[in-house]
Amino acid sequence: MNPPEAQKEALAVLNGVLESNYSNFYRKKYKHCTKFDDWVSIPFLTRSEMQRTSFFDRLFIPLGDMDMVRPTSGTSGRGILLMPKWGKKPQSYKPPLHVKYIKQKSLNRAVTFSGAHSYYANDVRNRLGIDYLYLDPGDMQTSARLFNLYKPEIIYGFPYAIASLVSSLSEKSLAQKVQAIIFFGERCSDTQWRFIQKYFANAVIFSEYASIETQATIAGPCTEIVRKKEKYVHPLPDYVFFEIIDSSGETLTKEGASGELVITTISPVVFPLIRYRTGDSATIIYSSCPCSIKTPVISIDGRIEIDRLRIPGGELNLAEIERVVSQCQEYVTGGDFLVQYIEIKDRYGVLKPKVTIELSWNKKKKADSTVLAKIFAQTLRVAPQYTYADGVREGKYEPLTIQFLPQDTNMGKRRIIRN
Amino acid sequence: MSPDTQKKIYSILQFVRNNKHSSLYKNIPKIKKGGLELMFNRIPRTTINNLQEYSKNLFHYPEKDIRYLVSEFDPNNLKSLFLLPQRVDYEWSLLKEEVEKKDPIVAILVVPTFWQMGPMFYRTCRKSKIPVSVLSHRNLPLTVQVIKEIKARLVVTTPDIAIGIQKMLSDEGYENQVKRWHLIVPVGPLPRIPWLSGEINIEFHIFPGIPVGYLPYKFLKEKINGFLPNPEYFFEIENSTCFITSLISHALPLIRLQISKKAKKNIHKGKEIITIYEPA
Repeated sequence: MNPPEAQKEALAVLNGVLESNYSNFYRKKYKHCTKFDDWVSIPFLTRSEMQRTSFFDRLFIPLGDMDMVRPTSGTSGRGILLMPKWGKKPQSYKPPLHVKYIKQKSLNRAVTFSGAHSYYANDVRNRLGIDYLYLDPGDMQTSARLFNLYKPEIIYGFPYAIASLVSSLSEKSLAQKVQAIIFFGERCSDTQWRFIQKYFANAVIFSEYASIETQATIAGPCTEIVRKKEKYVHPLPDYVFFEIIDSSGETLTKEGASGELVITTISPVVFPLIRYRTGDSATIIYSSCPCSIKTPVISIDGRIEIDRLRIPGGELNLAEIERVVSQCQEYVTGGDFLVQYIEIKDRYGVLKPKVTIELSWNKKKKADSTVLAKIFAQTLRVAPQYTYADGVREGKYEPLTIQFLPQDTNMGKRRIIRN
Repeated sequence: MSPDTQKKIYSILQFVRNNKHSSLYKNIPKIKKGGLELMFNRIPRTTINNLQEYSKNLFHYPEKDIRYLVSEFDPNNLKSLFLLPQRVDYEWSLLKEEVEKKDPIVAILVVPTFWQMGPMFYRTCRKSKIPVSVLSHRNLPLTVQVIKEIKARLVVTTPDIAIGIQKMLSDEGYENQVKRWHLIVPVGPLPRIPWLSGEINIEFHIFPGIPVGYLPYKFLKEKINGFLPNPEYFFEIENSTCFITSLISHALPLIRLQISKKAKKNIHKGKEIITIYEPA
């Protein structure tokens, strides 16, 4: 799945973080690990671990060398996470495909929906001669006016923002002047993809994968993917060592397999990610490609929608949780809920599941969340003859907690979220 | 007009008059070296409408290594919106002084994205090795979380946004977290400045990203209504009308640009103070 040199780089990153003079993060995390030669035995890194650690304790370079601090939006309900950003490139830096295309075509007017491109502006200006104009995705009318004035050839942005821009443009012919579109930040649906291709008919579309956590673009298309007008990507071997895992943590390698994307950053970043569970679902489309990139072609399918989660002794099953919640209709409104799952280390360094169920609470009924949590745990089966309370009693799980949210809270779809 | 100022203006006039890329200032008369003070009033004045008309074709601008700013603070003023060039190596000297005073840890910018000020902010702070965070003005709770977590001490923003941030910080027990506020306001009468923790410095911009004056905290405390002129510009006030002329080679040098219909010049503690009562 990854070229041999990427595996070497990943191990080098691991050794580097363990010897770092700047941050203790991984030394603390791996305190109870005895061996590192078997990659799959190295514990995963989760978002909640990063959130529990102070931002400054996660810096592996001096503060003054860091360029930018970026927060995640916090709209997923998982709380915000601050991540650093650094302009350093890998030694064997190869620019993404869209950069080569832009240079080839001598394009130089770009609009972007990302404020973080302030960081890129000078660097890109120096290398490519591109000017950015910044558009606000929260104000399409003004963005369209700026688009009309500037007449760009390149658009960087989120698929939904670019699709919304089209409907605000007074001169649709300006869309024909666009020759390159670079997506990032979210999955592009098939509908959005077709819509954007139709209106920006002269544009080559490059779908890239990056996130605030990854601190860089880590996957992008090759000439073959672009030629076929597909929205797939190759994980970029100069930037990342990647894995796709199933719900039990086993690595998947066959074409057609879908699972969670796990990444280890191997390009220079302020906070190296080692086996970071991205929470994004990915599918292996082709295990090889005629292009020169030695990683498979994958599709990024969006956030993980988990309806079951393997835990020691059994599994958390959405249907089973629904059954238990429905028995408490007297206390909850709507029957909606959200299950937050994390793993907590006990004093011996053993990871234990901890489940919190968030419920929209009927204020008219008196309910004690502690009492309700005990009832839930005793009723919630994780295996045919084994309940969550059994697991707590045997020391396998942390006690289940219930959190009441205000009655009008929009819970969204019922789901299990692994943090 | 001091000899140094004359020299600088002369150099700018030579540059714009003979410029092969731009005809915006083609009507500037020939001026002999040393004759600027006598001939200055014969140089045609420019208005913002002139700039808007000229900017309809972006290829008019004399400089190549430029990026663009916008002409309006309010995105609802779409009819009068146009683009203005700024040199990519422009140094935001008024902010630089702030950033270098004390270590802000991480400098934060929260202004409307539409104002295009991110790159100049980033460049200025990074030159002083200060990391930055450029945040959306649409999500103040997020901004407050960031300020708290990284213990930010310097925030560059507008008065309205600052009020919102300060209130949320106070509500969460972080009333004194921000030590210095650098507020951006349009050139005009000094707006009502809310109570904010720490020092407040105010910058007056003719267009977002083009500062023409500043009011440091000590003068704000003395309730001075006006600003110290940005040394990048020469200010002239004639019949209460205020005009500015670039003293450095901006991407779009401003030559006798009218910035106000009613203005006054005073001296306070040996410093020239410009008060704008009514912007142009």
